[in-house]
Amino acid sequence: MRTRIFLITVLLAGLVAPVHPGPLRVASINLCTDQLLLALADRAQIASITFLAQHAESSYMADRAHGHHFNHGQAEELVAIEPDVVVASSYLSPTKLRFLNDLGYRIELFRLAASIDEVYANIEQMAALLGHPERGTLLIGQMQDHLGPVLRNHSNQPSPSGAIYEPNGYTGGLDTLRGDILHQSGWRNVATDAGIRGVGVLDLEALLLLDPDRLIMSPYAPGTHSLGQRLLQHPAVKKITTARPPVVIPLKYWICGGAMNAEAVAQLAEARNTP
Amino acid sequence: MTPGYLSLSLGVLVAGLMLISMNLGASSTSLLDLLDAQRSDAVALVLLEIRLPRTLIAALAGASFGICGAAMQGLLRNPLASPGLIGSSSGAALGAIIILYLGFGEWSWMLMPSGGMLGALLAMVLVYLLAGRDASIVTIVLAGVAVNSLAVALMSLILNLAPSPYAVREIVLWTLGSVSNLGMNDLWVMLPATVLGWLLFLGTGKSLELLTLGEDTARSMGVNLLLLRTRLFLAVALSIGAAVSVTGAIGFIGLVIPHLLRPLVGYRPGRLLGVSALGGAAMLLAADIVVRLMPPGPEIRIGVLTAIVGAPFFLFLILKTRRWQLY
Repeated sequence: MRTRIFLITVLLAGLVAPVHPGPLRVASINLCTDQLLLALADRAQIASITFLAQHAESSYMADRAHGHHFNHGQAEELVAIEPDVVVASSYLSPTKLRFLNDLGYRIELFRLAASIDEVYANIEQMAALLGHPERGTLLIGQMQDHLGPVLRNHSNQPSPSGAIYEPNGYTGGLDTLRGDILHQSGWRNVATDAGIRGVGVLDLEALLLLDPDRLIMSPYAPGTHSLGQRLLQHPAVKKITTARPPVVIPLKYWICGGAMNAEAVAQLAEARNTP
Repeated sequence: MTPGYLSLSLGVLVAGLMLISMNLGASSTSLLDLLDAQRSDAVALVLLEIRLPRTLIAALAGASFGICGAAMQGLLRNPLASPGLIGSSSGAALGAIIILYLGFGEWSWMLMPSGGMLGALLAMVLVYLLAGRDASIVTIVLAGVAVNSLAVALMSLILNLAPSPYAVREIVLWTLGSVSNLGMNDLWVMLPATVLGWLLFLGTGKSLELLTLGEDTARSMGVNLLLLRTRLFLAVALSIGAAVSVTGAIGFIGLVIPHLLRPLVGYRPGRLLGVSALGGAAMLLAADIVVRLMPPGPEIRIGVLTAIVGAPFFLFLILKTRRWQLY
């Protein structure tokens, strides 16, 4: 009798849980989790990524994004795909989070990396989720190999001062990924000097008086027009940029955390020596 | 108070506010620093490239809003006919938005104010056609509401469709106005049309005063109404179009200032024009000074302040009108 019950239980369990589980299918609804996913997942594990992932301007992984299902970050779009896990930024709107919960999806949130160390943590988190922790370790190792010589190189040179300056006067201060990248590559961030924590606005007057050696810009959507973008043409800004041309770091290298951040550090370190 | 004395005191007020405006900003730089021989170049840049254009543009735009409010109220003999309410401000903003965000602004620096002027003119003509001559307050307000809503709706539509990723959030700048982060180039863009508009106002005072006696009487006393109307519409379109395409639609100055000053000039629309210009400049300068005195953080838009003063005044005006049935 006991053996029979045991056998039935085993049989039933076999019906419920498939013996050969398919790959864990992950859908991403954020550009930054898209790129972590593309870097670490098997192709079959990617259920969907956002349409932003294919834009070469902001996505470092654009060439690997083709052929996937694209979403626009709407929960409705995921219903048809039935992913096992949805990955998103921890800044996901509460309404969307609740809706995804109601749909019964497992949701993994990733912190907005505020430093390269936090980028490593996000890579580990994604690699573990996908069941490939060794790939995470490998990627982090590659980044550290890339960063090592750069960091050793500038440690005993004086730091030039720089300000990240974007349309509307936005800048990154303390506790931002861009601020950390700037710092790691041997620059002094004047936004941090001015007491800006997180992403903030560098007032035009403050910018002039802080007088950074160089402005660091990441043009986004060139050829389009708005008042925010016109601020970069303000005579006062021009006075800084004509004497000392701005350092241009393409947005895709540091809008998100990932292997490409090492490239941003290298470019910024290089720019310290070029007039 | 004699007119000369009133103009003089308003002039002193404007000059004083301009002086305060020059000495106030995110940094503690003041005009006295210019005298310091050891000053850095940055100090001169802050004063001459940031604060000077801001101060002058606030004064010019405020004056335009003030004088246009006085002129339209006189022409339409209607206390509610301010540039904000009859749609010329939002029309101007719409025109400027079309030029800037769709990329035409690159062709020539004159295009943005021109778009603003055309937009202001179209909106005014539309309200005028909808409401007709000698329109009642209700008709003017209804026509103004319709044209304003249409213009604001088209503004947000264009900003939504604009290719720039920064466009959508700038609706606030256009509907509430701002004079921060402007440069001398913005001043040069708005100056010619503003001055031209003001010149067109010269000499219309007498006709406006005769118009208070009614259109027929005015005509019998030699006022060419068609000419007067065309001239004032053009003047308002030029100066409001130029101002709004640089500062955005700043409301309530054109409504409040003429009403505030009218008793002081003996209810004479001709005399009201000049003092309203000074009063408007003072009001916008003062509002901009208060904006800068606010604690740091996201900047409070200047239109928020003019509305906080203007809206209660508007309510007061409605109550007063109801009580006396003056108009």
